[in-house]
Formats: sequence, structure tokens, C-alpha cells
Amino acid sequence: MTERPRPPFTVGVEAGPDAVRLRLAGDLDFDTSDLLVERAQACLAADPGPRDLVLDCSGLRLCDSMGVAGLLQIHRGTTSRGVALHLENPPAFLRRILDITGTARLFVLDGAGRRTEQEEGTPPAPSG
Amino acid sequence: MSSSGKVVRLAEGGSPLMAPLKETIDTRTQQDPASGAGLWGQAPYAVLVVDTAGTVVDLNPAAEALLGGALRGAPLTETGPAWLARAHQEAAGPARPTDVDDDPAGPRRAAFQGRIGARSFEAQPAPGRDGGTVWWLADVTDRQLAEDELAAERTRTTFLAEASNVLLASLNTDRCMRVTAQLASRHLAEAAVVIGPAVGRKLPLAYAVEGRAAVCGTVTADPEEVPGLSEALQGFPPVPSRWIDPASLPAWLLPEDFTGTVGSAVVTPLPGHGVPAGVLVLLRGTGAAGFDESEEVFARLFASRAGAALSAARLYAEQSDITRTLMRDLLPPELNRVHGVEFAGGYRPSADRDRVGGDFYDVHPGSTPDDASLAVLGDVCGKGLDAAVLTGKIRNTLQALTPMAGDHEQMLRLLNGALLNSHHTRFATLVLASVRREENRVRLRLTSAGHPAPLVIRNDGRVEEIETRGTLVGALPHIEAGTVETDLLPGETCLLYTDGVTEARGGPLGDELFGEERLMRALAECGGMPGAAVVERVQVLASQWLHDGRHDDMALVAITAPLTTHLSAVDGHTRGRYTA
Amino acid sequence: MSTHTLAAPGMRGLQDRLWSAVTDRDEHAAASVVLTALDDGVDAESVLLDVIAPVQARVGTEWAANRLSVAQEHAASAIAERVIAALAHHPAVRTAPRLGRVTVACVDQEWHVLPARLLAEVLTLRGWRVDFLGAQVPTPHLIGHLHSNGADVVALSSSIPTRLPTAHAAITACQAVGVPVLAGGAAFGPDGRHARRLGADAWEPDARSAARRIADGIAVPAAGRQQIDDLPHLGDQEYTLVVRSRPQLVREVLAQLETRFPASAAYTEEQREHTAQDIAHVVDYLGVALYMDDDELFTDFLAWTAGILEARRVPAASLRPVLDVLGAELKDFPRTTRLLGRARTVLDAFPATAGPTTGAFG
Repeated sequence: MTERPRPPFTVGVEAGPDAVRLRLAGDLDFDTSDLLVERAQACLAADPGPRDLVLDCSGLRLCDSMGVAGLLQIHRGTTSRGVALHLENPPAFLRRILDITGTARLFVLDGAGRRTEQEEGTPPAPSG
Repeated sequence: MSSSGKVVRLAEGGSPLMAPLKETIDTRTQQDPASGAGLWGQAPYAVLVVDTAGTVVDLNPAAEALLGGALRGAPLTETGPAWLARAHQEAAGPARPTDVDDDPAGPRRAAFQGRIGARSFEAQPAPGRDGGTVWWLADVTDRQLAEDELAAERTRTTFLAEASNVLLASLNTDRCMRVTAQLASRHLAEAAVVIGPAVGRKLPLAYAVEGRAAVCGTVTADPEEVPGLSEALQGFPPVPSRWIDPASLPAWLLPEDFTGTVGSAVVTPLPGHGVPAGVLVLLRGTGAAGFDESEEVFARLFASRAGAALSAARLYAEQSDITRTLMRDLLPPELNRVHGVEFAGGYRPSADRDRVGGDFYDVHPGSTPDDASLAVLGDVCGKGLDAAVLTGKIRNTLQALTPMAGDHEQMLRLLNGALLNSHHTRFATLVLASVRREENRVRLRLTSAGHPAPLVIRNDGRVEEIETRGTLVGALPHIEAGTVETDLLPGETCLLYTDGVTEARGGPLGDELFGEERLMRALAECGGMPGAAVVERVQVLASQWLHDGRHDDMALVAITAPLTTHLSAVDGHTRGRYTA
Repeated sequence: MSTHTLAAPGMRGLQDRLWSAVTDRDEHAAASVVLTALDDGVDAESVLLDVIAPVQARVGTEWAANRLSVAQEHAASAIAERVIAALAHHPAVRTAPRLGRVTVACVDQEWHVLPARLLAEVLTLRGWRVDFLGAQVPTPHLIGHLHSNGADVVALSSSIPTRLPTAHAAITACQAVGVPVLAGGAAFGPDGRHARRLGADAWEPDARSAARRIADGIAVPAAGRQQIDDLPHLGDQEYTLVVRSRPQLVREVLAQLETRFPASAAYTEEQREHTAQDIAHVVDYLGVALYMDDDELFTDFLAWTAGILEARRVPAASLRPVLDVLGAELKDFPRTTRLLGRARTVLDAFPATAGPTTGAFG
């Protein structure tokens, strides 16, 4: 059985004064969705928490149903805290699965997203 | 196995027993070949002198003690040990190539061996006076025993290794019992019986008689009838194997093709390491020797291997029974024709080892032919047993909700409410299809809850996507869903599928998705095909597309308006004609 | 496990009637042909092997000759399946098992289920207790089944030669749990030589002889054999390397075909995909020929493909550049190079048809 090589799934965290941006790269699936949920929840749990949580999806390669479940879990967290959840640069496959599952309306879908300074590995603590 | 180590060292040293013997023979016979008795008379070895005619002319006291004085003056052939007489004839004959005095190989030349009484001797000839022969007899009983033991040890080690290979190869309990009985009958006894822990009131047994194939069976009997059996079967700590009076053996314990009378019997528990594995009963006929201590030790070694294999097999059997029972309700059902509508399903779970997964389908027949049947196909996120358990919950809930199937959206809301869980957002997507035959067409009401749209293969070759949309269930407090109606003409098929089909990754270039377009193209060739053939066609294509790649669960349901009268009419005809 | 026809006079008529029912997709008529024959006292085994099997064989031939569509072929198989199921319920057919237990399965990826199904029915008729596991049985399922239920023998069916490595894994796995394997099906060669090569305990050309062989008893295999013991040449890794690089090879051949034949650059996406699939097939057969170290597996496939291409008015010579590119890509592999050389010879000798060489498949 040949298994195709899979790039590792990574979540880069950039904390700004009002918004926390998570940059997603790789496959969001059964094996990786928990990692994203943990990261996002850590960001939301910070005090004071962000006003916007932005998931930059331009580096996503795949999102399966477990990936969607992860996004819904994050959505629960943002809803209960009154945080807006943005999906930035969603690739076509992500838009498609959100459309089919009837969940696109839950997210603020940003087309060509604004680019902020990229600081990889910044701890998920808001600086404001 | 320290004894074998000792023996090996002994053998490597090159017969230390024989070296001084030869030296003695050579020096003494050369010193005074004529004087004879004077020198060898006090030798620690038995020595006898045999003349050319084969008559024993002299013996030393050691030989006399060993063979008796009556031998003196008598022909060796008549009164001596037969093997020594033969040796003498041979030694007195033409010289053998090995029978050379200055053989540099040393003492191991022209030695003859045999038993006198209970002991083993090696006889070494030396030329005596007047062409006679002086026979020196060395007691080699201990060496012989050591060598025999070594050979036996080697056979046993080989046997144990082979037994382990054969026993561990299979996790099938019957087979393990048969193999155990067979091996034991071949190497440990004349017949062997393996008795397993009781199943209800029945004891499973495997019988084997040396040289025949083992057979399995069960017997309704009280384990108390055989000493040691009930303890062993209840999993008490292994007790040493014990002798039992052959006369007390119940008739059911004897293999049918064991013809003789049992002379000796040993019961050895099969240690199961926490799980009772059973017992091994070894039987020998009256003609054979009983079991000696070393054989019992060996039987225990074998029993421990057989016990380990049997308990592993039994654990596996129990586990797979449990899994099978749990999975029975989780596996997709076989679909048939219901109320004049043809249903066909196909399912391929993701990992080859998980036979259940997150995809499911069901058809709930309408209570009368005029009532709609409800077909459901769905996909739970996740995989393996976790997903399967959620799948089971959804299927049960939907079954309970079938009376509400007139309003799909309401049904989905109730299902959503039943699945909502504060801990996780594992959701399901599904399609509901209410299906009713009206005249020769099939009326469909289709509702998607976050699921890929159903496809309809029309008779003119078009493949139509049914535009129903809705929200997934189980993760959000509020859901929406829209129902779409359509009709199937005879020969037309509506296909429900999960995204495992379209997301199969592979193809000639290795990393492409099968995709909806390819699926639609494939379906365009399926016009007028029976539903089962459509399902199979898509499965074949997706599986060829995957080549050997990993894939998600794949499920398909085809709903077809039949072209002709169905075989159920034929079944009816058969029953009608033959059971009336 | 193809079955041969006993051309008893009545059988021909039954075959013809079943053929027209099946090609008309008339399930009812098909079932009635079979059940009426049983009612008339025709032996159930004959109905299976001398009526249903030849009709199915004819479906295959007609499809290969492009006289039946894929849809018709699938429909015919689906009808055959149901007819066999109906036959099994006929009172004249029910048999209580009195012999041992046999597991009948197709190797993984094998969808051609009918020969195995027929054997399963024949064995049931002859008094065996049969576990029929169906099409494409993953080897772990097969072994799990043997552990749980035991079997005196496994009858393993495969029709596609490219599944021989999978069949080999299944054969050794069954033998490792102490169950002998009888192999059958076109994949193992008309003389069964591939079955022998893969260490199968028995091979038979058809269902009747397979049932006889199973009744004669097949000895339990010796434990501890591994795949490489049967095929020591696998140690050179050529098979593994070629099969692993299948996608890259297909991509490379496709790219080079486009530079050599500008016409192919204008292909539609669908045409390109068909070409890619054909190339992938060539690589698959190259792979299995390397696995078995059997040149004919590859050359036979090419000759067959060339024949099909010619029948569809594509010159066989269009296969030549595929072999050339593969030869250049895999020039460091001695066995592969030898195979490709043989294949070129076979192809060059193929009767050429008129018309210009377009250089790729249609």
C-alpha cells in the first residue's frame, strides 16, 4: 500500500491587540483537528480575550468532516464569548464543504484577506 | 538444560573414556602379550580371551563377575552376549579399513557396543596369543545415557519449536485443540485427548491417535469423572500432571480409534495464564512402557506452549464474538425490493481492518404498499468504532422517528435535538428519501441535511443533481432543510452516496480526487441498469481509481424504478408450488 | 475458475434462452429459464456450470469485442447473481452440509465474483459447508475469518493478473495459519503456472475439477514460508521501485508523448485521462511481470492491448513510444530493461494496419 507523503499540519499564531490570527497549513482532518481546536481555545481563554478570531486558510490543503467538526467546536467557543470567527482566504474545497454542510453562514468569510505582519511562533497571549 | 551442556563438552573432548582404555590395551599387550592374565587380570575392565575357534579361553575376575564363570571354556556364540559373538566373528574376519593400529584418528576404531544386563559396554579387540583375540569391555553406560539424553533433548527441542510454530499459527480454537492432540499423540503418547473448558454443559474435546488425523467433538459429561480435570478447567493454578488409574477412565475419554487397552494415563493441565485453557490427557496402551519422569517434564513443557496458544485462541474467539455481536446492528443491511421499488446498497469501510465506520444506510419499508418507504444514507464524521457508535445512535433514532417521515425537516430537527452534545461537535450529514411506487413510476421526496446532493440517472442519459440543501445534524442548535420532489420512470435510478466516493484520491497520476464530475460521467453510462449494477459499477470505478491508496468510508444506495416484474414474483411462485 | 461447456443437446437451447433474457435485462424471464430447467429435472450443478456459466462467459467475450456496453455487461452480471440466488432457494437444490468447511473468496480488488460464486454453489450442492466471502476480500478479513471460523481449505479466485502480488500475500497468509489454498481464475494462467509459482497448494481450471480436488483432500501446508521464498528475485527491489513510482512514470510518459506528438496536446481532459489510465495499465503489467519474473505476462498484455487498439482503429505501434519512454526512465533496472526489450520485439512483429501513426491511444 503506497501512502502519499503528507505535509505536516501547522498552526501559526499571531496575536494582535484585538484579533488573534491562526495561520493554518496542511491537512485539517481526523488527525489534526484536535490540535487546531486546542490552539484556538487557548487563544479564546486568554484574558482579555480577542474580539476577532481569524483563521487564515490559504495554506490549507484539505478539510474533511472532522475538520468541519473542529471549526464548529471553535465556533461554539467564539459564539459563547461574543467573538467573531473569520475564515480568511478559504480555498474552494473549504467553501464547498461549508456550503454542502449548510455551515457557511456561521463564519465571516473574508476573500482576499488583509495581511498583517507575520510572526511565527508568537505565544497565544494578546499583547493589549 | 545443563545436562546437555555437560554432554556436549564431553563429546568435544574426544572420548576421554576410550583414551586411557586404548593406552592400557596397547601398552600392556605389547609389554607381555604372552603372559596374559598376569597383567590384565587386575585390570578395572572386564577382559576375556577368545581363541580362533571362538571358545572363551580365559576371563579376568571383572569379566567373571559380569558374565559369570560358566563362560570359561564355552563357545562365545552359545553362552556369551550375542552382540559380542557377532563382534568376534567380524573382528576375526578380514581386517576392516578402520581396524588399523596406527590410525591417527586415535581410539575410536573398531569399537563394538552392546548391552550386558542393564548396562552398556563397548568392546575393543586386541590381538592375543595364537591368533586369538583379547576383548576389553568398557562400561559406557553413563556415556551412552548422556548421548541418548542429548539426542532425545535435541529431538524434543526441535519438536517444541515445531509445536510452537504450528500452535501459534492459528487463533482458531478447534484447530488449536486438534493440533495439540495430534502433536501429543505423535510425540508424547499413543493417543491424546484435549479437553477444553465447558461450553454450557458440553465439554469440547479433540482426540488423536498416533498416525491418524485428530478429530474434534463435544461430549456432555461431568468433569469430576476425571481426576484433576475440573480443577484444571476452572483455572486453578496448574497442578503437576498426575497418574490416574486407567480402569477409572470414563469411556468418553477414549478416542474411538484407540483399539488397545489403556495401560497408563497422565492428566496434564494446559496453563492458560488467567484463562482456563483445558487439559491434556496422554494415553498409552498396556504394551507400552509407562511415562517416566523426564517424559512428564517434557509433557509439561509442551503443555505450557499448547496452553498459551489455546488461551490466546480462546481470548481471540471471545473478543471477536463480542465484536461480531456489537457490529451486527452496525453493519449496513442487505437491501432488497420493497413495495415494488428496487433498493440496492454498497458499502466499503475505510481501513481494511474496520468493518464498520461512519457511513450508513437503511431502508425502512412503509407499513403498506401505499405508504412511502424511508431510505436513509448518511455519514458520521470520524472513523472506526467511535463513529460506528454514533452511527448506531442515529440509525436507532431515525427508526423511531419513521412515523414522522411525512415531514423531513421536522424529523431532522428532532434528530438534531437528540444528537446535540455539549462536549463535542461530531456531526452527521444525511439524505432522507421517502419512496413510493405509483403505477409504474416511483415518487421521491428527497431532503439533504448537509449531504452531497442525490443524483438521478434519467432514461435519456442525463444525470441530474437534485437541488436539496440543508444543515448538518448534531452540532448546531438550529438547522434548516429543504425537500425536493421528483419521479423516476421505469429504469431510472436515484443514487445516494457519501463523499468517500468523490473524495477517493488516486487515479493514474496518483493524487487526484475522483470527484463529482467523474462520478456523473460514469453514471451517464449506467442508463437503464439495475440498481445493484449501478452501485457495483461506481464501486469498481472508485476502487480502481484508488488503486492501493487510503480512502474514507464509501456508501451507496440506489433507488430504482424497475423495468420488469421482479424475482420476488418468482420466489412467490416457488413457495406457492412447493409448500402448498 | 472458468467453466467449460458440456454441450448436451438440451443445454444449448437453455443457454440461448438465458442469453436472450439476460441481454434483454429481463430478470423474470432469466429466472424462469433456470427454475423451469430445475423443475424439469435438470441437475442443479449442470444448470450452474453448463447454462449460467457459459452465458456469463459469452457476456464477457461480447463485451471485450465491443458488442455489449458496460451497462449491459453489469446488468447481465447483476441478473446472473439474482438468478443464482433464486436457484439456491429451489427445493430441488437444498443440500444439508455433511462434508468439511470451505471458505471461498476473491482476492482484494477482484470484482469478478461470478466464478467464485459458482464454485461456492457447486461445493454447497456437493455437501460442503461453504463460507462465501464475496468479491474483493481484504486479506486481513480473510485471515480474521479463518481464525474465527476455521476452514479445511480456502478457494481463492482472481481473474486479473495485476492482482497476483495481492493473491500471493493472501496465499501465504492463509498457509501461515495452517489452511491450504486452492487457487483458480484467469489470473493464475491457463495452465495454473502462476498459482504454482506463488506456492498455492492446488490449482484447478474449473469448478468441477476444483470440487473434485477439494474432495480428494489438500494437505496442510508447512508453516513459515514467506513471499520472498517463492520469488527470490524480489530481492532486487525492481518490482517495489517500479510500482512505487507509478504516478511519476505515468506523468513522465504523458509529458513526453505530448512533446513527441503535438496532436495529443490538443486532447480533451477526458482523452488525456484515458491515455493516462492506459499508460498506468502498462506500468501495472510491467510491475506484475517483474513480480513474477515472467516476461509473457507483460508481452501477452501488450499483444492483447494492441489487438484491442487495432479493433478500435488505433495503430498498435502507438504503444511503442510508451515503451521507449519507460525504457529510458528505467534504464538502470536490468530485469525491467529485459522485459521492455522483449515487449518491443513483440510489438514490432504485430501486424501493422494502414494509416499514420498518431502515437497515442484513442
